[in-house]
Amino acid sequence: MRLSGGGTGTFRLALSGLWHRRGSSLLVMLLVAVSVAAAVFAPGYSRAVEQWSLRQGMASAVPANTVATVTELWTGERAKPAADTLAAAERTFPLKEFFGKPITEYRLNGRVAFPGDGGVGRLVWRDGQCEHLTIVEGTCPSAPGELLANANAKVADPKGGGLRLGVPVDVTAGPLVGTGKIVGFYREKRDPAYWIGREYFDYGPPLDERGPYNFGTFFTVGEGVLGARRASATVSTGRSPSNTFADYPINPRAVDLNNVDQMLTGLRKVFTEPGGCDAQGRCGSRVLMLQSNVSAVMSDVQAQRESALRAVLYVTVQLIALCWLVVYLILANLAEARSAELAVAKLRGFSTRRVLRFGLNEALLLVALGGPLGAALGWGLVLLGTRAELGALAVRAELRPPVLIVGGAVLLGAVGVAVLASAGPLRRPVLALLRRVSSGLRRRFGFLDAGLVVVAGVTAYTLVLEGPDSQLGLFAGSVAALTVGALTGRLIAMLARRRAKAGVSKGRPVQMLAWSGIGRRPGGPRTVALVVVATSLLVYGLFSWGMASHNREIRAGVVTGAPVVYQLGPVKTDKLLAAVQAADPDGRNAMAASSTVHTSGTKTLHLVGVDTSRLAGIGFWNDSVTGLSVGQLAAKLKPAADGPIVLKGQTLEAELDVRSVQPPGSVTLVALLDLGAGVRKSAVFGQVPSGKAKLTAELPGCAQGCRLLGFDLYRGGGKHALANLTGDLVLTALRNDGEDLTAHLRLGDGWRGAEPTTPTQPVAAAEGTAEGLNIKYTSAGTENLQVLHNDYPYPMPAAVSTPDYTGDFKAAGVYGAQQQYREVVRAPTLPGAAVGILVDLAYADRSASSTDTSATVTSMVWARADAPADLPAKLAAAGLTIVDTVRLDQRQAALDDQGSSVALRLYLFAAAGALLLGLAGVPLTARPGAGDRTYETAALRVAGLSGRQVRRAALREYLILLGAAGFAGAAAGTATAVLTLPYLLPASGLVATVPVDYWPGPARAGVVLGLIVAGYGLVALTAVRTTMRRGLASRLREGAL
Amino acid sequence: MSQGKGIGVTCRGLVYIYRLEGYDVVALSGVDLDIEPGEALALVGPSGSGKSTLLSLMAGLLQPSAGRLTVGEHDVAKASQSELQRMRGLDVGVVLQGASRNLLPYLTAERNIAFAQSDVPRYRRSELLHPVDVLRLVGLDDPRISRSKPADLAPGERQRLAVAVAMATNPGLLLADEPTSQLDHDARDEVLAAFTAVNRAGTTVVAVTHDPDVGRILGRTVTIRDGRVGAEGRHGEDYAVVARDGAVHLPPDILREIVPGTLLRVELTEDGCIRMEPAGTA
Repeated sequence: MRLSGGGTGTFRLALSGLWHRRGSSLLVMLLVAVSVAAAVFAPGYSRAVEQWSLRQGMASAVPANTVATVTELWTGERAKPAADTLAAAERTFPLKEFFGKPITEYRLNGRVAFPGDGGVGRLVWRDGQCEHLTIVEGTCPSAPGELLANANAKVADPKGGGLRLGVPVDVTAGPLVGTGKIVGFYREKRDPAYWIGREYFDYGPPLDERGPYNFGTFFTVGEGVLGARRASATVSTGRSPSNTFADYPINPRAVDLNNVDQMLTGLRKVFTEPGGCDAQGRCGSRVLMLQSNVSAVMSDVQAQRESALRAVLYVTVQLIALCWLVVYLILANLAEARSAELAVAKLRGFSTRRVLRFGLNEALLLVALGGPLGAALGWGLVLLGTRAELGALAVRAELRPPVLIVGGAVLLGAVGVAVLASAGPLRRPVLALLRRVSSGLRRRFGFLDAGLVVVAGVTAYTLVLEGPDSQLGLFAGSVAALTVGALTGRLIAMLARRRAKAGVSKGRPVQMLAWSGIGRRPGGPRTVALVVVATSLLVYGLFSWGMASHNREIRAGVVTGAPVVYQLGPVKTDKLLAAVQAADPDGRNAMAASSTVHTSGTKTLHLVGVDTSRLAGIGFWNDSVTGLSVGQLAAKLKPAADGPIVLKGQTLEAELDVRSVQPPGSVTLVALLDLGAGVRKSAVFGQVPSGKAKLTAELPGCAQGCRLLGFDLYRGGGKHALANLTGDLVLTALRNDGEDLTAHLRLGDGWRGAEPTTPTQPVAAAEGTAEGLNIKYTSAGTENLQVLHNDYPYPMPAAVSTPDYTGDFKAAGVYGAQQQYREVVRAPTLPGAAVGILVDLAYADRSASSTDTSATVTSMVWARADAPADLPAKLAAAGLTIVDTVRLDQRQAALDDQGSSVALRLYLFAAAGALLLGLAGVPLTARPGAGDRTYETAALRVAGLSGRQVRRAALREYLILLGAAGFAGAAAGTATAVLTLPYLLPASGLVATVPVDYWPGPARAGVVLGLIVAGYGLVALTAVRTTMRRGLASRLREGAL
Repeated sequence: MSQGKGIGVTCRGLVYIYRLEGYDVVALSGVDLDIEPGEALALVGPSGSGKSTLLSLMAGLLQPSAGRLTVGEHDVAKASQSELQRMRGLDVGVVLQGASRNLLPYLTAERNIAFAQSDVPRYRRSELLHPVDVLRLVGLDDPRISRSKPADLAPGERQRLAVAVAMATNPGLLLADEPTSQLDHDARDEVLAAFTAVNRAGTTVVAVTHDPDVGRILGRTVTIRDGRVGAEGRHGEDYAVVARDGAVHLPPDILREIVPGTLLRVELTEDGCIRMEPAGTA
């Protein structure tokens, strides 16, 4: 910059001018600083929020899902000591970098026996076990053979014995055979991070009354278990039990966006090395398997990250646009106010270059000062926000290139805004610059307006078309608001000319003055645009916050399923249903439910079974999601079906009328029984004869009741194993210990032939007739023929939210085995599952054919938030063991900590900022023109108008401008929210298809509306009062202005 | 430092028309005027007669609709905007009506002058007076004044400062629009003294005024009436001016007697006088 000897160098001149207008200058500089700060803040903080989302997602996930478990598998001779396992694992997988200290565990499943009776149990040594157990009696095991037993075993065992301290226990656990001694009793100390969801505390009676009693876990010392394993490795047939685990808990603070991919890649590695060879020369190998659900957790985390990123960027873009607009408006008005100064420069014959320099120097200096200040402010806010909001997970701000690039771009944008704002006066000739009263707003709709409309349309269309991935869509809200602002300003100016003429023709000076003021002052459309954009952002913030709250409720609701969820120890479904019925006979407070997570390959299915008869009052269901009420949903999930045929006692009698069986004696009639929880048994009647016959079968394990699934026409081995079979027979009567069950056989749709397991397999035709159950079959090959009782609808009706299944499909049942489903309801989310399958619990239990060990089944009781406080006690009294309780408010609180929610707080910040910018911007943008307005007011008074008329005209002018702008802004904000929020979906995370409820509630809306009306009303009143106070005749004297 | 040499102005059939929405207003309808270099002249006339328009044309703020206007060596009618800018920067100083409109409110008196000098080409810098000397030229040689901002000056001082700023580049022609309006007697006299000093230094001075004393002090008055030169006064004596097309504006007192449309017989008498006799009165 050139500094002349006269002290009129550009820089010094600009400083003098800025000091002369220090109020406005300071404001402009601050606004530039705010916009640059927002630009620096957005990428900096969004990166930190993403980082937070990642770490928070890891930290808040169920420990079992984030732990990395190293399992050692050996074939053949073991060559390496156990200690080498961890070293090898840590060499192979990125465990040291991302995971904490491992917890090693040795586990052997087996049988235990003691004076009295025996049962099943497991021997476990888990590093640090006694510190994570409550030892209620005795001591922690310290030597091989010492056992710590579940305290429940001390009270009573099913056979009346019970364990006591010092009791010898015979243990047969895998290769370990020996006698141990009970040295203590424990109770569970809840610590999911340590126990990571593996089974330890499943002490309880057998699901099958004939099964062995489950003692759960006996904790012992590591050497005992390990020694047995080592021994087994040398004597076994070549494969040792895979029961050495090393659980590495994730260290969320070690994971960041820069290395998460490296971690996920590292976890997918496989470690294999040659093992030793035994005496026979058989060589094996050692395989280290690493199992972790971190990848699954990452998908949710990724959704959170994206949601957070979009929220931050969208708010920031709008905030920057608003800041730019205010900067533009204030600078434009400042440039107008500097018209006389520019005229002086042009009058003195300054060259165009010099005039430009003089005209732009102040604006550019403000930008130059505000830029670094804003950058510092923005980075300070990033540091402050990161420390205050995100410091708990050691998230640090990262000064990355995008921060500098975006900050620089916004600074350049501010320069452009400054030039644009000053362009008008710079172009004007001297006499036009000196004109005291504006000649009026001549320009109508032009290229700029058309361009804005086009850009707004394109951004909105792109957002709708491309959804949340649209980068251009980020600008949709701000461009739409700017467009509405610009158009509203134009429309008001057009309307003003007509209304002013009408005021003249009708002789109404107040109307004429108000409307002509609106139509003539260049500041009018700018004020309108400012208020429109500010109000739009405010309303947008209100809607987005309302929607985010709503989404959080929905998300929390669909994830938990009900306000309160009691997770139970293992229990049979019929017992669960009965227990809930006993604890809550009215069905108003509690409901039985179960959750099954079944993993097959890369697919994970979440199946939730609910007591549909109680779902309406307790579970979450959004009618608006599918248009179905919860009652209709229940009806679809639980259509009528014959009741179960429950057998008790010892025998089952069947009468047959066999019309033909070819070859004779080729099939055996077998009754298929379900003992509950997927445990199946069969009762054999014997070979099917010809003609009429009465057959009897012994019922195994049906003392407490079992369910008749159907009949099997079993071809058995021997000469009929591969024969073609045909037959036609009628089951004419069925009796269970004297109880006549024949009516079930006569139901027309009460039976069906079992579904084929291969495409070409023929099936039996089964039909209930007046005579009884008629079974006709033709079977080639080796297949057995089954006829099943339809005590549940077939295929199983299901509400489906996962895209993996549609129509009629096969998927895991409630106990994990594959079964047939029919989609009867398609819903975006399901209570308790979010994405998965929802079925009726009772039907699901009946239809489940067998237990698949790959399924994790959790029995639950869902309860209302206002359920009686003694409900847990009643449930316990009914025989249920509550192992955990999940509450909706806890879930919501957890969601509040998630990255997307953290980002959404910016919406409130932006909304508050918008209100302040609007309220402060109106008087400040009007301030440079206040001199002319005051002059005009004084002139009108001198011309003979009363003060009241002048005041009313000024007030009406402001109210029309602000009222119209406020209304248009609110409309623009609402429209923008409706258009864009479904595609931006703040805080939805996984639940990407939740119904959108924008209404923020009457309280919030009332507060915002009140703030808008009161704020702008106050601004109008203050402006009018100031104008009137200063608009005295003395102002007309030269030099007074 | 040397003072600039005054430059002259020549108007021939000068016409200026304001183009407004829907209609035109003829502000000047054929002005013929010659201003000699170093002359001091007051343009007088009723409001709306076109004198401020004529001043704006001389300043290059407007360009003629028709006719010729030469300011020094500048043909204003044909000059480009940048040439007009250069003309104002080097040869013509302008004082607009209302002293504050000529000044930057946030600069001191001295810095206002320095500002006006700041875009003068290097080759002309040596001819410039120091701001303090410019202030001294208009009688503002008080250090307090040179350090004061316009708002802190008395109205007369402010007006003289405006004159000083217009003189900052040492122009050959000083144009002033209503330089003494809204000033009391003493202030007016101070301003007129400043004009006299400027004119004495060689600069041509043209002032638009309603104040007859200004014309008397400047020596020559040109009355603009209905967009034309209606009369001239020299040291208190008023004369009608014969235009190049032969038109003569009759003085208002005679026009009161002879209504428009009256036929006049114009005769040159033997004694060299011109006799104007309404038809039918002989």
